[in-house]
Amino acid sequence: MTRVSENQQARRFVSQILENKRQVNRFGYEVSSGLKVSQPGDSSVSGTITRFQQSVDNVASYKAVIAEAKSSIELQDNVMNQMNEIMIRLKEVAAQAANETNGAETRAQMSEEVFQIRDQIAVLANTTYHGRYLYGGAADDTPPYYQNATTAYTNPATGPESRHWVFDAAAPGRTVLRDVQINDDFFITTNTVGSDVFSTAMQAAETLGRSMKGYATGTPPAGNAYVFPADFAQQTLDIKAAMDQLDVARTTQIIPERTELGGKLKRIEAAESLLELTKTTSQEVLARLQNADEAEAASNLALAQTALQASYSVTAKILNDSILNYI
Amino acid sequence: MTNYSSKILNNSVSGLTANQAALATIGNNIANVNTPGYTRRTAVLETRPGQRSAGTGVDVGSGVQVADVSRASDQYLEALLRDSIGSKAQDELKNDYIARIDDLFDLSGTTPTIGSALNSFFDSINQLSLNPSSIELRANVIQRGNDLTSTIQLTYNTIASTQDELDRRLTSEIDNVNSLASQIAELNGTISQREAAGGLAADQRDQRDNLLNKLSEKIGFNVVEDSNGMVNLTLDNGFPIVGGTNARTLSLTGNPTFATGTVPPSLSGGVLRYIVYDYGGSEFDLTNSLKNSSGTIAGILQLRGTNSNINATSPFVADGALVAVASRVEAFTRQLLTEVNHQYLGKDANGIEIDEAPATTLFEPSAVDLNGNPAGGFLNPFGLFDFSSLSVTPKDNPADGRPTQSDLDNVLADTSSGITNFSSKIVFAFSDPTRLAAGLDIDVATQNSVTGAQGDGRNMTNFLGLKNREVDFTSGTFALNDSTFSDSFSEMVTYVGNTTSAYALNAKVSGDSFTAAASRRDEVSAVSLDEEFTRLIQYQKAFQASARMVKIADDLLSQIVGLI
Repeated sequence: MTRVSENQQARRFVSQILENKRQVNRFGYEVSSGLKVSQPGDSSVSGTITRFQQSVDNVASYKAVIAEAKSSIELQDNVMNQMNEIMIRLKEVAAQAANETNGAETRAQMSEEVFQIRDQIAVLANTTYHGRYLYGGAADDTPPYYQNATTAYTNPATGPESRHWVFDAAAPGRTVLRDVQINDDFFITTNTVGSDVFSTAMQAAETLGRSMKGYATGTPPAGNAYVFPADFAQQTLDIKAAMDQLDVARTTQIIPERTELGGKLKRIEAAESLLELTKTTSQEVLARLQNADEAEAASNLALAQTALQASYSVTAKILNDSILNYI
Repeated sequence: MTNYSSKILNNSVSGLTANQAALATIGNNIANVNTPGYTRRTAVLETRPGQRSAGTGVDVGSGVQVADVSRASDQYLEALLRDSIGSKAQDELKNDYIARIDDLFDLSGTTPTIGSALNSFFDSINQLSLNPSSIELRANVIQRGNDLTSTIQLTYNTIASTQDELDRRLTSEIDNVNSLASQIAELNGTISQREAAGGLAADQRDQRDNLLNKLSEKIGFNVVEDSNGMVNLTLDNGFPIVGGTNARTLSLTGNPTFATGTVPPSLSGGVLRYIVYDYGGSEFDLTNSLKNSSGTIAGILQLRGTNSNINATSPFVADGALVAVASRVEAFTRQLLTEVNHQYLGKDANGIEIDEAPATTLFEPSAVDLNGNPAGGFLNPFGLFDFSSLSVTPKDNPADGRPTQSDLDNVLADTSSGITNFSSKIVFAFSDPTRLAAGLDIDVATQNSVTGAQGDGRNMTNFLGLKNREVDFTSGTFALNDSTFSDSFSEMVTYVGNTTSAYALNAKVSGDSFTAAASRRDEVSAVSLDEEFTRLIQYQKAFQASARMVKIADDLLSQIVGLI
């Protein structure tokens, strides 16, 4: 440069001051917001940032679903626990009743407990969760098990021994299972069809109770009363058959269901840890791409402020110096 | 005897006059040190042409005179400066306006974007699949669906209104150009007259250079000075804006004579205007050549977009970054209206698109809603997502019972519909939470019958498969194939980010080039106070010396007179 005019100097200094101010602004924002990239123009990898943000959002969404699904499955597990206890108790009662040292009247008395337990099975089968029937399938607004005058035995016509619980298979969607997504391409079924779990147990309890009370069991409204003492041996056989049915209920319905539920809970836990890992990894990448390093931003800010002050002071010094000071 | 006494006096007086003139020039330079566009002047001194004295005396010289006041101006550097002014104005304008689009895709999570709204919408569907009869969760889906459509509308409308604002700004820019051109033409006349009489019209030339710089901020042009001192300005395509004392007036029109029929619409449904010169009846289109030059008008046209095909009917075939971003939003919207609606309305068990599978194997969404009534219908509305319009019937055209890209194309083609884009019109079709079909038909046998189960969420569970489904996003000249919805949003963000940083970089580079070009011009033409004051001393001394000479000459003359 051969000549330097006042214009040039002023322009240069002004543009340098403005540039330094821009830097102070930028680093100030980084320090206060903690973010290096807050808009797409701030980075060349903004597309990647949105992908990882979506990943983190997905995790939160799946976790909420998992929490719901888990609590529903845990409730079902609880129900199965109770059913297991019930089967054990019924077996005990049945074993006692089968012993022929107990007469028909004793057996009839003991049957009261059996009928209570049978009704308890119905209560369990009609468990609700958030006001919807847990074992109702997709038709979860109506109870899966019901009994009324139409379904009842006619012999006898009254009393707990006449009640007959029926699985309401006719309701549309009764057997539809619910799959929920707990991770990308990862689904679990959160419910079971009621009859798959309770039907045999219910049948066994009913048969046991009626036999002990003194009635045969068939398809309602059939079921004749035993005539004693001729049918005593038949009663014993019927009680033993009911005991076998209790075993069948346990081994073919209740225990498999408990195993299944245990497996579901394990799969949910696996999904949860995978989600946690995904979230941690995504957040780490996001932090690297998007967050400002506090120490670095703070020191950049300090440097920028120093540069700004230096440019102020240099500007003042140099622009003040002119030949006018000397002539 | 030759009389040199008058010479002594005259020569000294000429020294006084000439040095006074030089001092005045320096004074003018100092006074104008901060005047923009001022070129420093120098008094050019030359010896006065000699006249032989009477008699046989020798030529002792006749003093000094001011030949002219010259301007320190380099035409090449002035042209460089004008170029850099044009680039800087263009790049700064583009940088300023693109920042508004950058704001629409906030990455810090404080403002909702299309991507975040889509994620929230899928989340609400996921929650509903677990508990399909819950009124709160259904209302949540409706809320999130509305958030998504209003975010899309907001994003698109901001882009469209930015385009409109740029178009409106053209009015004041063209007015400026016309006014500057006519002032330049007038100065041409003044300068040529003054200089014909002799001497340099320095002030007027400075003024004219200043106007040329201001005009460079608006448009790019070539300058040729003729022998009369007048400048002729032409655009790159040869079109003369200023010729001598004539300036041509440019105008803007949305209905040019060279368009047969209507011109392509803008993103908002309005018109992108053309810059033309009216030859008295027929118009000459200057839009493209102005777009390719420099200055704010080039920046506006480049960012706003121009249509190379004047018969186009879509706003998405124009060029420019605004249209590119809007096309991406539109492509996304079109997939919401088709692919997403398809999914809501049912695909077969293999996930085959509805128009490919035979109708009898479809599992349709359950035909009942929560109240046991027939569920939210199909063509009125279009599905989960619909577009609001007053007068479009039928929407299903070709009528095949499902929403397709052809249906959308036919709506656009129907000019009486008044619809040029879907992104500003997209709405979520449900407001009643009970009407969403969360379930499917129970089985093939009950298909299309009015039975369903309240607790059936299979339509919502299937819906989630959309997250990973690859579709083709197209609109106008934009196409992104085999991508998921989130891929499409990532691509949108990447495009905006890259464009914004490119514009920012250009603005910085042009800013620096301008500073450099201005410095180089100032090196030659600007006033340096140090220099002027030093020269001041020099001429002051010369003036004092001449004054002294006058006094000596006076003494001499007095002595001669005293002799008599």
